Amino acid sequence: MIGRRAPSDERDALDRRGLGRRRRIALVAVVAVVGLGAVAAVLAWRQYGDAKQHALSEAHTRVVLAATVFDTYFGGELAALRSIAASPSVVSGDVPAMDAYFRRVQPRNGKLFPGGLGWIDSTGRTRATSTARRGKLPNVADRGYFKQVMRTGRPFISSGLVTRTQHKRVVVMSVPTRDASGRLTGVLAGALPIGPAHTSKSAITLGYQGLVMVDRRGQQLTDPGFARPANTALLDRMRHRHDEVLADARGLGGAGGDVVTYSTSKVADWIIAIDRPSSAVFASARQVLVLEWVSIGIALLIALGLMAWVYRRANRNAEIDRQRALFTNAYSRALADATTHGQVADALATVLAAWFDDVTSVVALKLPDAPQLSVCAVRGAFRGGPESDEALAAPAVAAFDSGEAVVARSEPAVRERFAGLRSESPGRVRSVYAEPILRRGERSLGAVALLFRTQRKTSETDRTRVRAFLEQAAEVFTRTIRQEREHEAAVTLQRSLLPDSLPERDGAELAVRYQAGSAGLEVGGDWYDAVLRPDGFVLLSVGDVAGRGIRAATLMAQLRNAFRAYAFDHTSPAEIGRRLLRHVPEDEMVTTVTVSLDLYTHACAYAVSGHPPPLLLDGATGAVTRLASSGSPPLGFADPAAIVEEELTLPEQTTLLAYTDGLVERRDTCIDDGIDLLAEILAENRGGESADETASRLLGVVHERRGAGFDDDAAFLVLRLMGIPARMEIEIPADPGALALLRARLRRWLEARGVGEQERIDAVLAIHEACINSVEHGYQLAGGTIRVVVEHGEGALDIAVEDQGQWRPPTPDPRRGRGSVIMNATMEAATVHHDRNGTRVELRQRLGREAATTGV
Amino acid sequence: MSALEVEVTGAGEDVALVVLRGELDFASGESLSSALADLVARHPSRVVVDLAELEFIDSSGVKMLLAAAKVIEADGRSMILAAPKLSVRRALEILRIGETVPIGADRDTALEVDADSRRRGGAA
Repeated sequence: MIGRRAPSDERDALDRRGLGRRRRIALVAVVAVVGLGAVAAVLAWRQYGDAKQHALSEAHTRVVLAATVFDTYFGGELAALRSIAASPSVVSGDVPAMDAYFRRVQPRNGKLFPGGLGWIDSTGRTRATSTARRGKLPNVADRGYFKQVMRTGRPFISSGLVTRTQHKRVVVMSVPTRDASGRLTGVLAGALPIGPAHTSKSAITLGYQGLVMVDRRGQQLTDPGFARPANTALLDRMRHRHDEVLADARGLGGAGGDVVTYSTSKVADWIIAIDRPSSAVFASARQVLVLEWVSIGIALLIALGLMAWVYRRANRNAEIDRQRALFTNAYSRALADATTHGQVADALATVLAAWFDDVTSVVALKLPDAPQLSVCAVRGAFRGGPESDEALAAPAVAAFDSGEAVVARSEPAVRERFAGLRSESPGRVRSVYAEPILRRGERSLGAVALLFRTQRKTSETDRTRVRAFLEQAAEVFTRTIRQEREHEAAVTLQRSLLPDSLPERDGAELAVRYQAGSAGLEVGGDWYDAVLRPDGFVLLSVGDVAGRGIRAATLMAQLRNAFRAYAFDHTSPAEIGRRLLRHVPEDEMVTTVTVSLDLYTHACAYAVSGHPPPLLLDGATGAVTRLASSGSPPLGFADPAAIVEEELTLPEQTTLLAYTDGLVERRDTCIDDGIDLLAEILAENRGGESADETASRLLGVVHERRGAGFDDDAAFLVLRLMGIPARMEIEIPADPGALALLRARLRRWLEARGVGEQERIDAVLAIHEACINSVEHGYQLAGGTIRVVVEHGEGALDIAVEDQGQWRPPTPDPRRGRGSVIMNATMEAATVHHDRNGTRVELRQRLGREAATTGV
Repeated sequence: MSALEVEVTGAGEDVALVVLRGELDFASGESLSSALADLVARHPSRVVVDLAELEFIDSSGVKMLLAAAKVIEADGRSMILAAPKLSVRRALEILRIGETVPIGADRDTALEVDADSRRRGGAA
């Protein structure tokens, strides 16, 4: 065994390797997916950066566009002013004409200069205006735009102003006016009203949220009060740089984290800026980023979940494969070990129940002697309950009868076809698959049925698998059924060679058992026998011819018959053993034990030849002893001289057990332990157990403690003695030489019965004389049989001595002969009856009068 | 134990001693009768039969002893039975053998009785 690994270990190692490989693959896949996710996340981040840049440049584009729009607009306005300034009324300085002209050019609510149009002379007085004249026209000589135009002679756009008359916020466009000679005459000014900046929907939609306009004086035109920005540093920077994008700057309001982008309108020298918090500017980019990240995360989770599912499924499949491989192995082993069809059926039912989930497997076989299928094994998740074998077998029977697979896929189909199957929960059968067991496609040996608790469609793979199992089993079924028949024949033969009933006597009981070994299919060589002789001797023989088969059985039968013959002629076990020796051929080995026992005196002798020692239980003390002191080698190896016997007197209450080694020997334990175990079991008898009960108990306990039955054949014999019998009834040969033994036995028996010495002497003398009469006068010394019956009753011995001889009256008259004298003198009563059938002497001796008789 | 053992000492002398061991019955008596026949033929003046080691005697055994005693006494000599055990004495008593053959309680007494009777015989 060393250096050899069990198959299951190797399988485990393979499984571990499989598991490791799957783990590695799973790990690599997880790393790859997470890596891809990370790359996607980084790309999204970079895209976010681009999107931010894009948002910045878009904002910048807007301010640039706005500046350009302003330039164009202001350029148009200035051009309009210049053309008005070139009109004849302005050149000529005709004020009324100018008023009229102005009103025509800029009517009320006119689009050109909504704030009004007017001409200011070189002194700063407003002379002509498009608006209705109310009171004195204002003098604007102090206004910056007037001074600027007068000084430079060039058009000018003012900063934000508040009008003197109507206190409106306006921007004033102004151009110089000249007369026909080209002399500067004044300033033509048009006012554009400035509305308060408010966040309009279109402003948001067009991305002009946070739009700020700052005039050259630093006033925020978009502020209702023309307030100057708090962040003058930024204002200075704008003045200086004209055009810029600041991603993360302090805004005009002074707060940090703003996006500021600006452009300068060259015509008006205004700064158009967008100043918004970064978060607002980048909101959409961030939204996109978040959306992308969330998408990547979800995709990752889905991918990982999918992989986990695949991994677990792969593991589960691997586990199922492993389990199934184990089932298949166990199945093959069970089949190889099976010796009975029941074991094969069990193995098949077990593997099928294990292979499928939630199934009860039923194996039904057609046994040679049975008229129909017999359910041989049922296994499964929900077996049991009130279902009868017949109901369980129904699908199998259907498959067996048709020779084809039987399938019921749904519950109604099951109910319809197999009404007997349980329909209520929890044992409900929802689908059925049954398959006949065919041997090489020919004769059907039986069928199996799978009763599923689920509605299951058995796949072609499943069926192929089931059929493979069945094919495997079919071979073994055939073998076991054949073997069982052979075994049965062998056991029958064995039994026929052994006595089926044993003699019985008062005070003694015999019981025997023969147990065929489970593994053995051949007849064995174990025997037991008992001979009860007419003279009250019991001779027991238990033996074992080595080997198996007809040869061993034949020798066994010969030895047993020889024993029976010798047992009637000899009471010496050693003598019988020596004679049996002659019947054992040279190449055979036989172990045996012979026991001789006087039922009336319990005098016992035994001889053991290579055999396990008989066990002796003293019923009074419970002590068990081995009768082991007179052993010789087995017959076939022993010298006749080596066969000796041992004598002992058995206790009044005795159980004697003689057995063959099959009862105590197992493959894996030594025989001595087996004998100790047997002695233990024997000692558990606490009195009152009959020989038969003891034998059954021994068989049961030994069977149970060994687990799987007997390895070898076992025969044993239990003799129970229940005290010294009160009645002695024996037949002895009418041979003068036999009387000495009779006297000796009588003495011992009477002593054991508690009869006093004087009375023993008288009884022995009287019985002896009666026997001598029979020998001498009944049979004329020609042999025959004398029957002696002594009954030890209440205070008396009743004795009868009978023969079947033809009485020849002796001369002189026997009634006056010395024998009669002795009988009459020793007995209270002595009568002699003669008839054609023989003579009967009846004697009666009163007991308990020791003192009186001693005196005679 | 069942067989009878007969031991004869001093067969050619004046006083012969016959020791019986075992059991004297119908079957075993033959060896005794032949031994006694030999002894009688040598004409000892006295025969002492020691029964101390005899375990059993039956009617035929008693008959044999009586027959021997008759022959010996007819020859003018005497036979004495010595030291029978309880079982043997019981048979001897029942068959009243003491009336014909003297019985000594033990062997030495029997030998003494034997000497006395010889002295008496001598005086007569």
